[in-house]
Amino acid sequence: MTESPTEEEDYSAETLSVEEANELVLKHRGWAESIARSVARAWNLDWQMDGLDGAAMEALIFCSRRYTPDRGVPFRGYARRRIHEASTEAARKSKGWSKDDSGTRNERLAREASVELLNLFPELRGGQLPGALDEASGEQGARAGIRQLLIGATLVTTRQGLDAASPDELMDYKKSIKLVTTLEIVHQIILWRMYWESESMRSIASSWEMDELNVIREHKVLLEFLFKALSHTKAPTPPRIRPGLKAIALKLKRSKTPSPFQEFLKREQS
Amino acid sequence: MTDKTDKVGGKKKVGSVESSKTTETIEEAKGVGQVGAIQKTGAISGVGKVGEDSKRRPTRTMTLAEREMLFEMVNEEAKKLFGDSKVPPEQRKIIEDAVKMAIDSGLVDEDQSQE
Repeated sequence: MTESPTEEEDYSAETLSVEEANELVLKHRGWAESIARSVARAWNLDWQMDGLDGAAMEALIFCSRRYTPDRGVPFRGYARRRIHEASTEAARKSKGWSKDDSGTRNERLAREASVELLNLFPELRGGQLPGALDEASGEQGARAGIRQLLIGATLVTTRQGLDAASPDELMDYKKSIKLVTTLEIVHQIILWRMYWESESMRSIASSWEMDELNVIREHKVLLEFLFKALSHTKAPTPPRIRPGLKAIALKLKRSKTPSPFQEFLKREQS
Repeated sequence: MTDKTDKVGGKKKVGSVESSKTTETIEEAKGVGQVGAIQKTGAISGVGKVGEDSKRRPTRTMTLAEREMLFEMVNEEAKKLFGDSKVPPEQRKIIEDAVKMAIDSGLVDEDQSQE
């Protein structure tokens, strides 16, 4: 996975000269504009009027100044997510995004949910679907990735819906939450921190002092379980805790950490 | 080499050897050419487990040409997911649209982005 440059990144060594960096900008300008156009197309905005073109160019220049060819990563692989991120940020701040006639309430909710999906599944910014749990490729792999996105969006919209639902709708949303409460506490905490507190998987893994892959792979397992549970009348058995998470699961059990979703439902009822 | 055989009790037995050819002399032995220095092998990046290769797939970037096909897959998978589920219909529509928007924003038109 290619990492996008960060503000903190050390760019003192082996970066390009200003002339070389400018050449990169000229060479990849059309490509950066294409990214801005894609973001605008997805949200029915004007890539120039809404300022996505400028944001994409700024990000392209930023990346050209920090790019170190010696690391062996192609420039486009290095810069794509950053340019996409800058374009989406510009889109969210644009007039087209916030004006009242920018779609129905549901369209606006879908747009907000799609932004959260881009943060939860950053590979989308690079034009890739989330990887399948069994590493399947081709159409099967694509479908598995889409299933993850659909469940991710279900959790995001459940949270959105709980915030602004009528009493009747609230009952429906709570049914989805009750399904999540059947999971192990450690699994619930992963979902809660990701979908309710917008925390990244990296940050969760770091707070538990473990390899990020443990959280990434467990997240995929959880989404797969939720897909099966929601698409079948008979719920499947909740997934077991993977070995890499057992120590933290035990710690949570010993400290009698409550289920965040049950606590949430209790608060809603009271 | 030839040999003479006699029959013993209906069975053949080996007789004396009449003649044998001598080995021809070796006319000349050539010197062994110089052995070159052992070349350094390329670095091996790592050895995977047996069968691992068949599982690993390179991550593929989606293209704009696949847009409609991907959207159709979203519709089909959403139908599977929400067929019997308790998710409200209004929420279903938002979910489908959100997934399509997120995918669409990552589909870059390669024709317009050539160097």
